[in-house]
Amino acid sequence: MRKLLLLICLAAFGSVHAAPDGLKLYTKHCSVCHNENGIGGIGLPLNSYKVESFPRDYLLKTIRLGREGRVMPAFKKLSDAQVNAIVDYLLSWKKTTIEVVFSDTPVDGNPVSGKLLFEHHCAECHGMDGKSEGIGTGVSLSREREFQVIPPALNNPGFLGAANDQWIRHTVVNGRAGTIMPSQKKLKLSNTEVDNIVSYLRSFEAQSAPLEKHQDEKPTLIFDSPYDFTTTIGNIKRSLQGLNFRYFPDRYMEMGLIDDKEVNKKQLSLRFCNFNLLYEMINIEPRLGVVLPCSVTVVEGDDGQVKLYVMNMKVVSRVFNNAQLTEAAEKMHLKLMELIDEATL
Amino acid sequence: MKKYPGLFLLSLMLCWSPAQAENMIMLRVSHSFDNTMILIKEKLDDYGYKVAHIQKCDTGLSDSGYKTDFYKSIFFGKFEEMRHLTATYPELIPYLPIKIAIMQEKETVLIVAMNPETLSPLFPSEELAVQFARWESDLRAIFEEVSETQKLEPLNPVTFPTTINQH
Ligand code: HEC
Ligand code: HEC
Repeated sequence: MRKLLLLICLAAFGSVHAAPDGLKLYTKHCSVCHNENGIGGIGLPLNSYKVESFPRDYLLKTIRLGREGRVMPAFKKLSDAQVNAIVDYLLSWKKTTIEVVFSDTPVDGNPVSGKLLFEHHCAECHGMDGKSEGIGTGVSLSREREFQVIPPALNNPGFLGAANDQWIRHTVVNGRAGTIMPSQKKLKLSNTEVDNIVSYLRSFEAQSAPLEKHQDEKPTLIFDSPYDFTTTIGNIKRSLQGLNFRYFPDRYMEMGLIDDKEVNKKQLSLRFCNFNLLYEMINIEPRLGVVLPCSVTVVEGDDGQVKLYVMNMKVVSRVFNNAQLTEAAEKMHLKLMELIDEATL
Repeated sequence: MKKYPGLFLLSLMLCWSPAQAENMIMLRVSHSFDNTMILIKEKLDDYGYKVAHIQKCDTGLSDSGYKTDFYKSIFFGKFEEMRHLTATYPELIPYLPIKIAIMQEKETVLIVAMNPETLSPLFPSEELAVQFARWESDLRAIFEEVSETQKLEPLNPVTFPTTINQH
C-alpha cells in the first residue's frame, strides 16, 4: 500500500514538469531489440567503443527514419524532446566527454572503382548490392543466424539518410571493433580506395527504388462461396488436406467470449498451418505469431450467401518492416489462393 | 541528390509508407514463461477482456526444427465488441480476436502484439479509429503493468508455481 501511495505521488508530481526520461524511453522503445545495456541482439550493438564515436545527429536521424525493410521501426510519434532524451541517454554511456561531429563535406571518390572494391572486400557480408548478406535480422534471439552481429544493409534509405559521408568514411577506416567488421588497415585499403568505396555507398541513394505502393490493396480478401455453409466448410477441409496443411480444431468467432450456447454459429474459423512454409516465415520473423495461425473464416449472411474471409498476407507482412518476410509471404499468399480456388470451384 | 542531402531526406520522409512506424508493441521481461502467461491473463482480466483461448505454437514448430522452448499466443476480446464488429465490419474478421504472442528466448520472455493502430489506415472508419486507439492504449497499459510488476513485487512462488530452473 505504501508503495502504491509512493507511486501515485511520483506519478502526480513526477510527470508535470520533468523532462522526458531517456532511460525509461530507451527501455520502452529500444531495449527489446538493442538490449538493456546496448549490447545488441536483434539490433546492432550501441554500447562501449561504438558509442564513443556516434555523432549525435546520426542517432537522432536513425531514430526518426528507422531502417525500412530491416526491422528497425521509424519512431515518428515521439516528440523531439523524447528523441533527444533517448540520445542523451545513449551518449551517457560514453567514457569520454568529447563531442563527436563529422562535417557534411561530401567525400569525392570514384564510385565506379568503389563498386569493384566493395564487391571484393565488403560484399561477402554486406551483399553484392549492399542490401546485406545472410539471414538473421529478425526480432528474435532464437532464430537461426549466420552472424553473431548481423551486417546491416548499406543501401538502406534510413542508413543513408542518417549517415553523412564523413561518418561512413570513419566507419570504413576504423571498422567496428568487437565485431567482424574489418578496418581499413586490415583490408589494406589506401585512402583513395576508402573514398571510392564511400562514394559508391552514397550512389545507392540515387538507385534506391521508390517504395512499392500497395496502398490500394485490401487487408482482407473476401470471396463468395457458391455453396451452402456446411458444404463450403467440407470443401475447405478437403482442400486443406490435399494441400498438406495441418489444421487445428474449428472455432466459432465468439467462442470463449460467451457461453457456448450463445455463440453465433454462422461464423466459423478454419485454422491451419503449413509447417514448412510457416517454419520458413517464422524463422525470418518470429513475431509472426501475432497474426497466426492462418485461417479462413466462413460466414453465412442473413441472405444465406456464404462468404470467406482471409487475411491478406501480402499486406500484413509489411507491418513487420522485414523485407525478407515480405518475399516469403508471397508464397504463403499463393498457397492460400490455391486453397480458396479449390474450395469454391 | 548528392548535393541536396536535405532534399533527399525530405522526400524520404514524405513518401515514407505508414507500414514503417512502430507497428509492434513489444516487451522483454525476465519472468519465467509461466509467470508471464499468468500475469498477462490477470492484466487482461483487469481491463475487462476475456481470454478466448490459448494457442500452443511450439509443438508444430519444433517438429519442423524451429528452436524455441515456448511459444504461445493468447487470443482475447470482449463479447459485445466481437459481435458488433464482425457484424458491422466483417472485413475485420481475420484480425479478430486480438492476440498477444509470448515466446521464450534464452533467459527472457518476449511479448509482442501488433499495434492495433496499424490497422487504422487499412480500415478507414471513424468508429474503428476510436476502437483501435482504445485497444492500443489498453495493450500499452497492460504491457507497462506487466513490466512494472516485475520490478515492484517479485512473484510469490507459492501463488505462482514457477518453472524456473526447469528448462
Ligand atoms: C566480415 C564481415 C564484414 C565485412 C567484410 C565488412 N563489414 Fe561492414 N559491417 C559488418 C558488421 C557485422 C557491421 C555491424 C557492426 C556493428 O556496428 O556492430 C558492419 C557495419 C558497417 C557499417 C555501419 C552501418 C550502420 O548501419 O551503422 C558500414 C558503413 C560498413 N559496415 C561498411 C563496410 C564496408 C564499406 C566494407 C568493405 C570495405 C565492409 N563494411 C566490410 C560486417 C562486415
Ligand atoms: C524491432 C527491433 C528494433 C527496435 C525496437 C529498435 N531498433 Fe535500432 N536497429 C534494429 C536493427 C535490426 C538495426 C540494424 C538494421 C540493419 O541490419 O540494416 C538497428 C540499427 C540501429 C542503429 C544503427 C547502429 C549503427 O551501428 O549504426 C541505431 C543507432 C539504433 N538502431 C538505435 C535505436 C534506438 C535508439 C531505438 C529506440 C528508439 C531503436 N534502435 C529501436 C532494430 C531495432
